[in-house]
Amino acid sequence: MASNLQWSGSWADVDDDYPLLERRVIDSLGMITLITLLENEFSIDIDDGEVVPSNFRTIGDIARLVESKRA
Amino acid sequence: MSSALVHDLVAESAARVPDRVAVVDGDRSVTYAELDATANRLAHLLAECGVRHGDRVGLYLDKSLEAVVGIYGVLKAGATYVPLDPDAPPARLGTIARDAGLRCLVTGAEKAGEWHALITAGAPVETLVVLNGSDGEATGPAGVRVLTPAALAARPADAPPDVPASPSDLAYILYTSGSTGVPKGVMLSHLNALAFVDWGVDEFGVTETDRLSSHAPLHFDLSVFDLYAAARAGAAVVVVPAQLALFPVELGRWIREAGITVWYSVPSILTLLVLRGKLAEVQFPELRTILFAGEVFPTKHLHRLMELLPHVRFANLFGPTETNVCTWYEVPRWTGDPPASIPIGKAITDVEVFAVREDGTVAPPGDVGELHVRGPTVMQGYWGDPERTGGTLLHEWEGETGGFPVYRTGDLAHLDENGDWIFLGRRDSQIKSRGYRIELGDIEAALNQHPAVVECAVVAVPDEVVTNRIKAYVVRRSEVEGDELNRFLGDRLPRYMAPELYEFRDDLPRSSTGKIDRRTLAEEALRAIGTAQPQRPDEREVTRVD
Repeated sequence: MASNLQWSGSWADVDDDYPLLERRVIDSLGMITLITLLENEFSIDIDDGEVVPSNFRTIGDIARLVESKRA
Repeated sequence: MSSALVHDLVAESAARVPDRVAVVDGDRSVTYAELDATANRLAHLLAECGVRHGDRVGLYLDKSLEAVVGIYGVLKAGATYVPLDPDAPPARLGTIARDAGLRCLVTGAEKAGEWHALITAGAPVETLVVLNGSDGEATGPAGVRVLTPAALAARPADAPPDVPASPSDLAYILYTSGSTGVPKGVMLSHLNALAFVDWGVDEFGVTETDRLSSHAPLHFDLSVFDLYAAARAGAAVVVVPAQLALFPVELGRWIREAGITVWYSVPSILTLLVLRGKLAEVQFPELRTILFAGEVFPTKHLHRLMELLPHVRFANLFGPTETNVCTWYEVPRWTGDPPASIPIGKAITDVEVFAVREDGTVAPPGDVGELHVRGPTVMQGYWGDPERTGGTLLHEWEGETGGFPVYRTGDLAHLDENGDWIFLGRRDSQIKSRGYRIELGDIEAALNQHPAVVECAVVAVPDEVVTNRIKAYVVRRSEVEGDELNRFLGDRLPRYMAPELYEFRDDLPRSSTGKIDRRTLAEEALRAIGTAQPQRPDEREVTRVD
């Protein structure tokens, strides 16, 4: 997924709380890719209304979103 | 045309409609009177810092109200602004700053962490003018004078400094990806900018009641329309909050609440909006025009967007940075299925577009040739690079004399039976990916600097959504993986130039002349992802209509 986002920072730095949005890890096309990847990888459906900053600020946020869909 | 200089647009609107909102940035806004006054103050401050007529001043801050003040301040000082991509690595920007001779930078406190790196990378900066943040003592790198917002207050607001500016002066220099790894500075004059803006305002009927969104960063020429069309009309330009581009439902809500009437951006943000923005649930009564440029807009998404917004006018604008928009196409409302692609349309007012064949003759309608553009919007050349300029800016051309040079675009096109231009592809290795213009050689040059890389070839793999994906074939002399190479590139190139795919080889295929055979690699890359092979544009069958 890292290469798909074309982010050249060090993923070793990215822990659950790394500010993805602030650090511009994702851009708008990265977002389309990310959502598609999450849906395919985890067999979930992400509602458009869930594509909001609070669900994507950090890896932890994304993980929580995915978990809530799998529950 | 009343204004001869870009900043006159603001002065005139300040005189005519002083209390109309000029710029909106979040919950802050300024009127034309305020914008003009603050820009005047900044111009005086810059003049006192030694900025002279014809100097280049860098803009290094996030797109904001302050950035707009910065633009007009630099112009009113008789200087040329050079917008630096706030997201590019300092090393890249240092090269640009050195090339343009940026001794003064208008900047923001949010970039303070990068100032030192910029200077270390070669930026000859002596003065930093910080337009936001606190007024206290700001510490910059050693030997650099740092001025804070308080410095503006004491400067005159009524009029700018008296500078002998002329319409042929450079208004801004926009740096684009260079094929040998060195960015090229496209020089645009006041006349260039105004010729384009006048067309845009006329064609799309921009008036003082309009609210134009401003999404494109300042180093992309899309921003020229947003800012200056608004200024000419006395309309408001509304900065799109940076993160909103990622969150389509929120973006849709914002467009409605901000009362945007005219939207101009690259297609990919519109694609995200139509796919994920729940647009069917929202009304946009004020939105009347959507303009898009910079990449192909997949017609199925465009069609859907048009169905959701039945009262909006849609237009495809086309043109390289070197000419700003040279052709445009108003998208018709299709009754059945949309066509596979849309034309780039017809030349804008006062601009002449023609295609030239390999043999140097002008292509008749239907025949493929390289698009050439002549008119008042054509650039003045590449900064400090007369050789590259001479290669693309032609001053002699048989045919009508218009007094303007001709720019050869490197784009291949042909005229269809309706007199619309159809874009076919590039002659060279410049590509679009995600809306960004990229020279593949730029990426190769940077990769070749890595000690483990013996040689490399970077190719584009066509993609329906992002136009092209980037793949690098690398011959290495020691262990290294793609992630590490991309980290290396992250210090040298903008993020969007990092290859998504890496393939390591023992050697690279060569043509009969001994050069790396990129075409074969491009074909292999396509096969590897299981798509049909591309055709060379001149191999395509062209339908002739007599």
